[in-house]
Order: sequence, then structure tokens, then C-alpha cells
Amino acid sequence: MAAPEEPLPPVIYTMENKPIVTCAGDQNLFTSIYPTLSQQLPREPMEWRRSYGRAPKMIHLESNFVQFKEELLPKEGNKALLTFPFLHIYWTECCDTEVYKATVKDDLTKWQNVLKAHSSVDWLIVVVENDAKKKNKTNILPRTSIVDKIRNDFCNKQSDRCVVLSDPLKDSSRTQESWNAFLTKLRTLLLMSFTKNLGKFEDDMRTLREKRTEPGWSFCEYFMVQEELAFVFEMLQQFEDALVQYDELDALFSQYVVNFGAGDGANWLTFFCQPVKSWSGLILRKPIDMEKRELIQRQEATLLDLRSYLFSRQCTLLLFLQRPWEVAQRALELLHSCVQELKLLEVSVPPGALDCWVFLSCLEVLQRIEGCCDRAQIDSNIAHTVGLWSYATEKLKSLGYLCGLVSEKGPNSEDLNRTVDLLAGLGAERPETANTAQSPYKKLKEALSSVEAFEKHYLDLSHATIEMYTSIGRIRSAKFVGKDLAEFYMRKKSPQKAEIYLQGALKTYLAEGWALPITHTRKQLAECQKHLGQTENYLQTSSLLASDYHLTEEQRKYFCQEVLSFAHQQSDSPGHRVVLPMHSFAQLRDLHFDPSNAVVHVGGILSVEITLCSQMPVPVHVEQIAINVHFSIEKNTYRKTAEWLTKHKTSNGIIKFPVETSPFPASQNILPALELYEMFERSPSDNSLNTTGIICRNVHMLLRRQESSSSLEAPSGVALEDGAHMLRCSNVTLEPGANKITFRTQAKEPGTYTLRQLCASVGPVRFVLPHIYPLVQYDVYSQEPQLHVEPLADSLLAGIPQKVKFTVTTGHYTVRNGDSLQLSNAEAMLILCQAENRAVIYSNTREKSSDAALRVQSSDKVTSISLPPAPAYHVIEFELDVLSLPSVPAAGGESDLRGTPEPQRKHKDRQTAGHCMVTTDHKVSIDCPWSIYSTVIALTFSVPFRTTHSLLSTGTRKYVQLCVQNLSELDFQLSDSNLVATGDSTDLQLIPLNTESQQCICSKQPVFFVWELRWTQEPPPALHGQFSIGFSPASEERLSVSLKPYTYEFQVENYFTLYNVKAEIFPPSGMQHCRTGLLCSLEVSITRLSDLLEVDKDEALMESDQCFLTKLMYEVVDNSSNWAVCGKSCGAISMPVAARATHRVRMDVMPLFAGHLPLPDVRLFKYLPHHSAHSSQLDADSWIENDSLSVDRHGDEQSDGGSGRSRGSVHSASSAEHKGLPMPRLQALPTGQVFNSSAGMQVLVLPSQDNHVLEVSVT
Amino acid sequence: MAVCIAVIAKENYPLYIRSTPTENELKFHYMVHTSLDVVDEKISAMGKALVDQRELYLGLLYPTEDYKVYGYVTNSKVKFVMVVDSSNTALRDNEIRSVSAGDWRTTPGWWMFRKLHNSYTDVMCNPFYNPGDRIQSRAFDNMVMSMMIQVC
Amino acid sequence: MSRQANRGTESKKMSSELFTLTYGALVTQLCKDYENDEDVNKQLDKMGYNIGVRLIEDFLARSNVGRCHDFRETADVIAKVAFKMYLGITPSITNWSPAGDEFSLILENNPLVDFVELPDNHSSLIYSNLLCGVLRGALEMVQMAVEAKFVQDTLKGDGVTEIRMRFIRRIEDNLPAGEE
Repeated sequence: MAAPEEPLPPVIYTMENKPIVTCAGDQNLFTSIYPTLSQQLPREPMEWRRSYGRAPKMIHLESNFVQFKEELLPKEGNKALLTFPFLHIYWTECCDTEVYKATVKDDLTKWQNVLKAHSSVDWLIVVVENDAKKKNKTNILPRTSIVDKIRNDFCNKQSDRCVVLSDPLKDSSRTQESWNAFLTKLRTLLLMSFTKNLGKFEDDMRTLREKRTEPGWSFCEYFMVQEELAFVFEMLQQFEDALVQYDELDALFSQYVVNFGAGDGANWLTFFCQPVKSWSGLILRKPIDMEKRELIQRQEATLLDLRSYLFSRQCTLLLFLQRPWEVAQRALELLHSCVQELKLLEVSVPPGALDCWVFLSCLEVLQRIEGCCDRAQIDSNIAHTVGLWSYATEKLKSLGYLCGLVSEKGPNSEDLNRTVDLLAGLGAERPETANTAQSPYKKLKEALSSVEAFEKHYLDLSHATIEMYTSIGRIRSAKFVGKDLAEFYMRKKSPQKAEIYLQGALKTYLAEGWALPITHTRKQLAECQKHLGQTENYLQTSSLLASDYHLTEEQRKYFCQEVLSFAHQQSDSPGHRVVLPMHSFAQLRDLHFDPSNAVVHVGGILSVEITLCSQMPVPVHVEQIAINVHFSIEKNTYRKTAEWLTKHKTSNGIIKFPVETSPFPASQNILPALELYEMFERSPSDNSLNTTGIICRNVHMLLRRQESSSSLEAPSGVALEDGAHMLRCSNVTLEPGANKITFRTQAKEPGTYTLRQLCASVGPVRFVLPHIYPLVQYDVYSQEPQLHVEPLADSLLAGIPQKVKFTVTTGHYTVRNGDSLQLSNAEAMLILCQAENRAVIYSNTREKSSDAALRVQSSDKVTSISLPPAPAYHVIEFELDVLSLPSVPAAGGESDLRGTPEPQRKHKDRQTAGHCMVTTDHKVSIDCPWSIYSTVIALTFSVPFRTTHSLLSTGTRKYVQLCVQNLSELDFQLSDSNLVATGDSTDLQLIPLNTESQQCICSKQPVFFVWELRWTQEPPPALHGQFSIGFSPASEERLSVSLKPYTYEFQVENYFTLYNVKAEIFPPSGMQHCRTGLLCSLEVSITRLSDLLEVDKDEALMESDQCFLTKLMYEVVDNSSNWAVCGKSCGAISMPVAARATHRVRMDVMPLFAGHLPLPDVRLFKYLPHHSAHSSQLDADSWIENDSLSVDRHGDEQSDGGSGRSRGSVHSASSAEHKGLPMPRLQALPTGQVFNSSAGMQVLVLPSQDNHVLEVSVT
Repeated sequence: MAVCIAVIAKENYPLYIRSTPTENELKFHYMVHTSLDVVDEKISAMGKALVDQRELYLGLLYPTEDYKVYGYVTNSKVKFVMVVDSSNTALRDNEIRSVSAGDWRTTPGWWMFRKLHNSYTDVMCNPFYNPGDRIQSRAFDNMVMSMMIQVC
Repeated sequence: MSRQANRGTESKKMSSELFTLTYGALVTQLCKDYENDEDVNKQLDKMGYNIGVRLIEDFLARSNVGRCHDFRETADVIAKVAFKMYLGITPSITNWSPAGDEFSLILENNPLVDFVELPDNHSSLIYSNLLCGVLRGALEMVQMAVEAKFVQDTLKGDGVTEIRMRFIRRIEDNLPAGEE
């Protein structure tokens, strides 16, 4: 300071600073006014217009009025602003000229000169007047005169520099006015002075700053200058401006340091590069830290001193500005940047010194802030302060490590020395904190004093920090501090305390999938657990680490070794097992069943091949890998049959398992969908339903803790369920990477087996995959042996050898040597056993496994087929030829024409075999070796032929025609057809008219055979014929067996001709040709050919004198309606039963067309009267219509070409239903008995002349 | 200039994190992870601003003695975190002030993050990249590398 | 008719990103569906061919280019008109074979491959093979049997993308081109 002798009042740097105003002149007067003045001045704010376009401010002015002394006036180039008198006031109340002239004027002049001498222009002359004085003055000059005089004498052209204050001590409106005027003036002048002087000062300051590149320039000097400005602003309550000054200084300095780092160092900086000797942190309790300030002034401040001082000032101002949180924030920056700057400037700092400094500073700042804020504020602003807390914690920690306070055996001598040095660097505690208990200084000293003390303080800090972080939701930060704490605990050999923090941290890292932190933390955790002796957890963590690719090979090997060595050491308690999750050890990649559809029969071999990807860095020998299988009886038999197998072949039967990337929080982004299935538990004994319900198959994925795999760090909830069913595989060595392991098992109980867990055991260690997912199942089924017999073709043909396929499904039965099928022969069906019959044996999956010769032995009763030995669940197939003999039932098939249906006839066969082959069934009962019951199988054979017979006559000669229709698809060779008359007809000869003996009958074609009937004397009434014909498939060249011929039996009755019917048409008389439209005469002559015969013996026969009569009825019908029959077309006649008896009937007919017309045909019936007494004459029409009905019937029965046996019955039935009363009955004569000699004759009819149109009917 | 650059997924797991020199990689991982606290804080604090701004430069997340951590979050809640050596002042100067003044665009940090963001967008557009996977892209690597070595 | 209406030489604007991403999605899906890259390449070519046989109509309708007299002219039309119209780029034509039956289209930037980085497990994938198919299909519709294949690809680290075109023969009978 440039005020040499006067010891400046110490108050000057307190906050009571006010701009100085000097008072000259009448001191008593001033003192009388001072109270009012000093109280009135700040009352009104005044607008301060600023230079450099700074915003104008309203400020309340205060002043520090001091007596005028010349020394107060600053010399040239003095930079002190605070001591600068901004205004000089001269007080006087002189009111008469004499006095003025005598003393006051001189005094004023002197005052003015002094001011001039110091070129100070900020002055004011106050003339106080009060009336009291005037009263007792006789020679009163007008007051104004004095003021004018003064104005004239001193303030030339600035008359305002002289003001009047009238009756200041009175209380009158006038007084008030003058006061106001005065005060306003005073303020204005003050502000003017500020503006002027500060402006000047700032200019000087800038010029000084511009010089900073010059060699001699000193930052400290400049600092002092600018701070002076800051002080003034502060003095004027302009804290913002003040702060700006310091910030500028701050920035300037930082810039220098940076540049220095960049290379161009200002030599003044070297002052700050001196080694750090004192590190007694920030001091913020005093508004101004004088010591530091002086250090700076004396240019002896170290960097820390400067920074500390600078910050303390900024802090003070910020607190004035009510911005404590900014203090905290800036503090942190400051501390960081100080450390940086010291580095940058390569200042030598004793180890730990900075830590001390930072630690103290942090606490100081925090305490300072706490000092000026209430709890609530602080709590709501933790976010701002917590940084300082953790920084302090950090520093204290490093101090602790530095001074050997963390090692459990305490500090050694060298540590102690270091501690002493550090404490020395703190110096003595400051007076202002001396009596505060928790001062940073005390804290630090205490913390460093002993291991225990350090621990206490460190823990306090850490816990506080963690708590704060947690409270504002900065969990990650909290965990991070927690990890430091854990490290500390580990050092202090108290792992149980450390564990919780490590676990906590690990959880967060796992939850967010941060691989490296996970690995690192796990490593720490492993150590911790090792110390704690948590074998299981330790092994688990170790296995996780062993599989961790972020570790080096060596580390992984180490941890792997940890696990293995534990596994191999003999565990004292043999039963003791350690269960660890599998995925860290090895991962299940895929699983493959063989057979691939994962269905196997009881006793069958199932192999499961899994791919395990070992995560271990070294090959690991595993005593046993086991798959735990859950067994549930499921009587879903269909699913278990061989058919099912062949139908449901899964493509490859490989189940892939999702690769879980362990440190990846999959659970967060994709939650799997529920997989629900219905579940039925059935009791093994009787397949009754025990429980049913819905199960969720991926529950283990859904219901796991959010921090997914972190649950694995805690003692894992992996339950090792040991069920009865296990797939085992022993002594496997898992190479790093993929390994294929195959389990083979023989299926025992039928049911469904679900693969539940995978477990690899290394010594007492069990690596368990608790859920095999997706669900993997295989099924075991058991099947009863079965025999199927089915024809190869769609239908079997009778009479020729046919192939039949035998299929034996062995099921659970093993066919041994000597096992055979016993077929009890059906009499009409032969089993033809050729020399070579081979049976083929297929495996369950239809692969041909072998074939063997088949021995078939037939005795008369049974045929035994000895099966080739075949293992269980195989299929034996072989074919046999069977031959169904055309035996009685077969031929009897024909008798349906007699209207008696066969018992064996299968109507459905009728439909299916479209051309209604006659079928016959053969039942064969087979005894199978596996069961005491015999299986009955029915084979249906169809007769390939249908035969019909018909009787042909010419006159009295008779012929039998047989039509053999081939219904089958095959062609046949027919040979040696033969017809024999059975029965007593001795002299009946059958002369075949068929030439060649061999002939071919093609599929669906008929072949005809005809025989003539000859006899010598009266023939028997009925012919019993048996037709037989040999046949063999046309294709077959030769057959091993001689085939039985096909036979057909029939009988023909009344085939002997009794009547000859002859019809003739005669043209009208006088014409030789009939003409259309002209009546011609039709003559029908019926001639009896034989005398009375057996066949005539019926109720129609009447005995008259010497001869017999029988009643006949004729009828003329013209179906082609060529003729119009005129008059009665039918009539009954009595026919004598004698040879050559003839009856003629004439009637008129008219041709309707021209041309060769066939004659209308004439039918003959037997006319049977009913034998009731009263035979009444019936009117013709009634019975005509009646018998016309019967005629129709007769008509179609004739087409049937059958024998007449059933006629009567049929007709009588009809007539009976026709009328209640008895009626004569008609009976058609069997075809054989009537011969129509004019059948097929035609008569020429000419068109009538007068017809223009010629109608020709062509028939 | 940057010593560590990280891209962090919405779920807060690292999509990409690269640091130099590699020996104290771990430290940077911890640092970046911890910085997420502040990111969350800032995001929730200026949740409103997120709506109208397309992306958000969070400025200085927190300083440590040796490093400064800057953050940036896209509208899809993907975060970019950059760790810068404290001795490197290119980013540091007046970062706080310009951020508090609200003119992001002026800060060098913003530009770097913009570059990062664009490059990230390209990665997302690569049809062979499945969103959510860790980023393995030469182009992105190169860009990040350039940011690490470049002295701006 | 309406389709005809917007058949102008004026090209409709669309987001290139959408285009690129769509193609990318196509290719990656193919990569999922077929195990080896060769099959994917085949499929791409096939698709391209089916696009080409259709696109040619549109092309002829929009750009009223007459029939080309020689292969060089064709090359020009492809590069200067077709590529411009559909991909907005104009590849340069180089490396004419002495016989004038082969040339190369050099694509400085291939819009299909913006953002694309081939993963290592798809080293033999010809990402843009669709283009070859298109060229082949389109030219076949104008009685030109050509072979088109990539000989350089920026995705494979080459400086530029080069499609080599080789004229095989003129298709005399214009049999209806069945889609492959």
C-alpha cells in the first residue's frame, strides 16, 4: 500500500468499507449534521450510469466521512482505490461578509489549492444557514451574498459546486427541501466521481494488462490492481462486478498455465513453480485471507496460495450472491484444475501433500456451505455437494494407503515419517477454526494419527458419500464408492464386510451388462469368498471367471485350476456335494436323438448325442455326465406304434439350444412368451388320472430375478433332483470348445421320458443345468405281436392259385427258432407250398434286416409255417399261394337262379365287384406262438365265371345252350368242356356240338356251349345237367398243381314239345297281297303233338268220353303294333289230349304299315279252372283284364328263360291278391312245351293304292 | 483427443466402448458406467427439452481429477459418452458456461458428438447390423479412432 | 391408362435411404433363408432377371430410345439413360474388349450399398448381384443375351464397383421369356 507513514486503519478491509469523503471547514458544524447526513444519504437509491456500455445500476450510496487531511490525497500512480477520497466537502455556516473575508475565504483557498495540487476535482462547498444565527445579527447581509461570493471566488462556471443547506436541524418543509436538494447533489457528485475515477482506474488497469507480454510484467501486481477494483465494486455492493474481476484474473492465470504447458512460459510463472511446502487447504471463513494476500503481494505466493486466495474471494462473493451451490461446483473444478496445473507446471509436490490439500479444501468448502445454509437446503442440493464428499473420501483413502494406515499391521517407520512430514505441511491450525471441533484440520490430523482413527473417519466419509449418492439415485456412483470400501475391507482382512459391497456392485454391472467391470468385480469377489471360506460361492465365481474371455489365459487357467483342485482333493465328508450352475462350466448347444423321432420300443436302444461347449480353458476330466429324466406313463398307444414311427419321421431330430451370452441383459429387452401346456399325471398302476393342470414350460426364464444371472453369484438355487431315471456317461474329458457326448440307454418301461437336468460331476462338484429348455422328450412304447393276412390282389379268385401276404409284427415278442404258425386248413382251401418260400424280416423302421427261407409243412388237417427267428419289434413278411377249390358252395352259387340265396353270399362284395362275382369265404384259424388264442382270418374268393343255361327247340328236337361269362380281369384257357346228365335219364344222349376242346376266354367275354338232347323213347320229364369245364389262367404256362374244373349244375323240366302253334295271314279274297288298311284274316292253328303224358296230369285235365281234354287259352299280341287285331284277340279252347289233334282260330287283323311285317305272336296258356263247386261264368273282360295282367307277368318271366316250377305259385299269389273270390287261373306253358313254328315269319303288306304317301315300316 | 468413446444402449449396456491407451481400459469402463448416473439425472431433469430437441448434448457430465466426461443422448435414448483428458483443454474451456448459456452448437463437444451420432446412424442402417447388438463396424471404428487421435 | 399417365421421363422422387434399406432387408432375409452365399447370389440374380424383364417395358415406355444398332450404343443407353433413370447415377463405360463385345460399367458410388458393411461370414456374397440380373433380364427382352457379373466391389474393399458385361449372342426368335 502506498500510504507510508499513516498506519492505515485495519477496518479498511472489513465489509464496512465505504467510499471515503473528506470534510474540511467547520468541524463542529459537520459533527452536528453528520448523524442526519450519514443516515439520510443511503436512503434514496441513485441510478449509476456505467461506462463501457455496462448496464446502469441503482445503488444506495454510503460514505465514510473523514476529516480532510492532505495525506489522504493520493499521489500520482497510486493504485489504491479503497483509500481514495472520492469527494471533498467544505462545510461553513459563515453568514457575514467580514468573517468570510477574514478567515473563511483564506481557508477555502488553501483547501482548494491542496486539491488542485493533487488535481482532484471532486469537491463541494456546503453553506449551512440557520435563522437563529441571523436573528442576533444586526447588520444582516442577504444570505445569498455569501453564497454568491463563494461562487464567484471559487466555483467559476461550476456554480453547482456550492450548495446551501438551510436549517438542517429544524424540522420544516423548507429544511426538508434543502436537505433533499443537498443529498441529491451529493449523490450525483459521488457517482460522477466514481464513474470518473473508476473509469480512469480501469483504463490504467487495461493498459497494465496489455503490457503482460513485456518481460518485467508481474501477474501479482496486476492481480493487486484488479482486485482493488473488485474491492470497490464489493464496497459498492456490486458483487457481480466484483466476481467478474476475480473470474477474469482466474481465467487469465489459467490461460497462462495452459500456455506454459504448451511451451511458452512467462517468466513470472516460475514464481509459482516453486515446490509446494504448505498444503493447508482453502480458508473460506474470513472474507479476506490477509496472509495469502500479502504473499501474493510480496510475490511469494505459491500456486496453491494464489488459487486458494482467489477461490476464497470468489467464494465470499458467491455467498453474498446467495449461490452456495455454485461454490461447491467451482470448488470441485478448482481442486481438479489445481492438481492439473501443478502437473502441468511440473511443480514438485511431496507425495500426499496434494491429497491433504484437496481433502482439507473439500471439507472446508462443505463446512462453509453448511455454515450458510439450513439442513433442508443442503439435503435438496446434495447433487452439488456430493462430488466434494466423494473426492474427499478418495483423497483420504489414498492418504491412508500412503501412510500405511490400511495395512492390518499398521504403518511402518517410513510411513510414520511420511505422515509427520505431511502433518508438518499443514502448519498450525488457523485461529478461526481453532475452537471448532470438527474442523477439517482436526479431522485430518486425527485421521492420520492412528489406524483406528483413520478407519473411523474413512468409514464415516464413505458411508456418508454412499448414502448421499443413493439418496439422489446415483446408484452406480454409490456402488463404485462401495467397491473402494470393499477393497479397504479386504485390506483390513475383513472380507465379510467387503462381500456385500462387491455383491452389490456386481449386481448392477450384471444388470446392465458391463463385461469388464463384471470380470474385475468377480475377481475381487472370488478373493473375498476365498477368504470367507464360502467354498460353493468361491467355486462358482471361479468357474465363472475360468470361462470369462475377458481374462488372460493364465488367469482363466488359474481359476479353472482352483475348481479342479478342489474337486480332486479328497473331501472329508464323502456325501458332500457342491452344486454349481452348468452354464459357466459348459453350455449345451444341441441334442440329437437316434432314432431321430425319439420314439423307441421297450427294450430298444435309444442314443442321445449332446454337444457340450466347454467354457474351461483346459481339458477337464469329468467322472460322469448325467441327464436327469422324468418318467411319466402316457397310454397314448397310437403314438407308440410302429406305424407312428414310419409316419412321423422328424427331419433330423436335432434340437438346438439358444446360446446364452451371460453378461448380456437379455431379460430386459425380450421377455419370452408364456409356453403353456396341459399336463396329465396318470398313476403307473392303473392308468387312472391322478392330477391334471396347466404347466408353463419356460417358467424358469420368466420368474427369475430381474438382475438375471446375478442370482448365480449368491448361493445358487440350483436343486439337484435325482430321479430313478438317468442317462449316464462316464469318464468324459471335455476339451475346450465343443464336445460331443453320446448317451445310450435301453428303453424299459413304456411311457414318456422328459429330459430335465444335465449334470456333470467332477469329484464332489456337480455342474448342473437346472432346466433343459426347450423341452426335450423321448417315448418308449410296447406293442403286442400281430399277424395280418391279406391278399396281394384286391380280390382273390377261386379256382386258381392266389398269393396271400402274411405280416407278422413281432412287437415285444421275440420269434425263436421253431416258432411256427399253425393254420387249421379249411377243407376247400389249399395252401400250396412251393419249394422256395422266403420270408423277409424288416426292422421297426421298415429297413430290411434279413431274409430267410420259410418252411411250410402241410398235413391234412393243419399247415404249419415255421417262422424264421426274429428279434422283438421287427416285421416278418412272406407270401403264400392259396387255392380255393370250386367246391360245392362255390358251384351252389349258381343256384341263386332258383331264388334261394346263399348263406355266404356277401352283398357288399356284390356291389364292389361291379359285375357281381359270386364270392365264397374261407375261414382259417391260425395259432400264433405268442398267444394261446387262435386268430381267425377270413379270405374271400370270387368265382371268376358266371354260367347261364337255356333250352332251345326246333319242333321236337331239343338243345341246351350254356353261356360261360368270364367276370374276372384275367384271361383263361378253357379245356374239355363236358356236360353230363345226372339222375335216372338213362337213354338221354347229350351230343356236344362244340368243336375244339381248348379255347380261350378273355376277360369279361362270354363263351357258349351247346348240346343236343336225344332220346329214344319217352323222355324223362326233367333233365339234371352238370356242366364242367377245366380252366387255367391263360398267362400261366404251367401250374404246379392240377386245378379242379369249374362246374355248373342246372336242371331243365318239361322240355318236351306238346303243342305246335302256327299262325298264317291271308290277304283279302281276290288279292294276293295284303294292303295296309285292309282287313286280312289271321289263322292260328294249334296242334297237339303227343298223346297223354305225365306232364299233362293236372287240374286242367278233364276226362270226357273216350278221350281227355285240357283247357288252353290262346292270345294274339302284337307288341310292335304293326297290326290292329280286330275283335276278340284271345280265347279259351278245349284241346283234346291226343296226338295230331288240331284247333284252328280265325280272326281279322289289319296291317297298319306297308312292308314285310312280322306276324303278331300267339301265346298259349294252360287254363286252370278253380275247383270250387259253383263255377260261375265270368264275363270275359274281367278275366281278360285279369289274365292280361297275368300275361304281362308271364311275359317277363318267359324272358327269364327259367323253368316253370314256380309259375303256379307266383300266379296264384297274384290272383289271390287280385280278387277275393276264386277265379280260373292261367298258367303259361313251359317254353319247351310249345313250339311256335311261324315265329320269325313275315308277310308282305303293300301300301293301299289311294295312298299318296307310302309308309314303310322296316322291322 | 478423446481417450474413451462409448455408445450405450437404451437399456444402459454398452453397445460400443473403445478407449486408449488400452491398459487402463477397465478404469474407463467404470468411469463411463458411473457417468450414466449423471446422464440419467440430466435426462430426467430436462425431460421436457428432450421432446422438442431432436438430440441432446448433455455437456460435461462430471469432472474427475484427470478426465472430463461429456455426454450426449439421442432421442431414442442411446447415449454417447466421451472421456477427455483433463490436460486437454480444447473441450474444457468455457464448456460449462456455454452449456449453461444453452448454445450447444458453439461447443466443440457438440460437433464431435454430432459426428459420432451420424456415424452411429450409418451403422444402424447397415442391413447386416441387428439393432441392440454390440457394434462391430470398421467404419465406426475408424471414425472413433480419428476422434481419439485428432488433436482439436 | 393411369400407369401410362405417370410414365414420363420425369423421375419420381423417393427417399434413397428407404430404397437402400429395403434392398438391404431383402438381401439379409435371403441370407437367413439360404445357408450359403452362392445360393443367395443366385436368388438375387434370379430376382433381378424377373425385374429386368418387366422393367424393360417401363424403360422403353418412359425413355423413348430407339433400337440400338450395336453393343456400344446399348452400353451408352444403359449407363447414361437407364442407370440415371432408376438409380440416379451414371456409371462410366470402360475396358472395351477389342472385339467390342465386352465392356465394364464403373460405379463410383453404388446406391445399393450405402451403409452396408459385409460381415466376415459373408465374404463370398455378391451383395448387389440383383443389378446383374436386371441387366441380363432387360437385355434379353430386346433380343440380347448378355452375361453380367461383378468384377470389383467397394464392399470387397475395391476402389470402385465394376460390372463386366459380355455380349453372348443375338436371340433371333423372340420366344416368350418364361420367368426363371
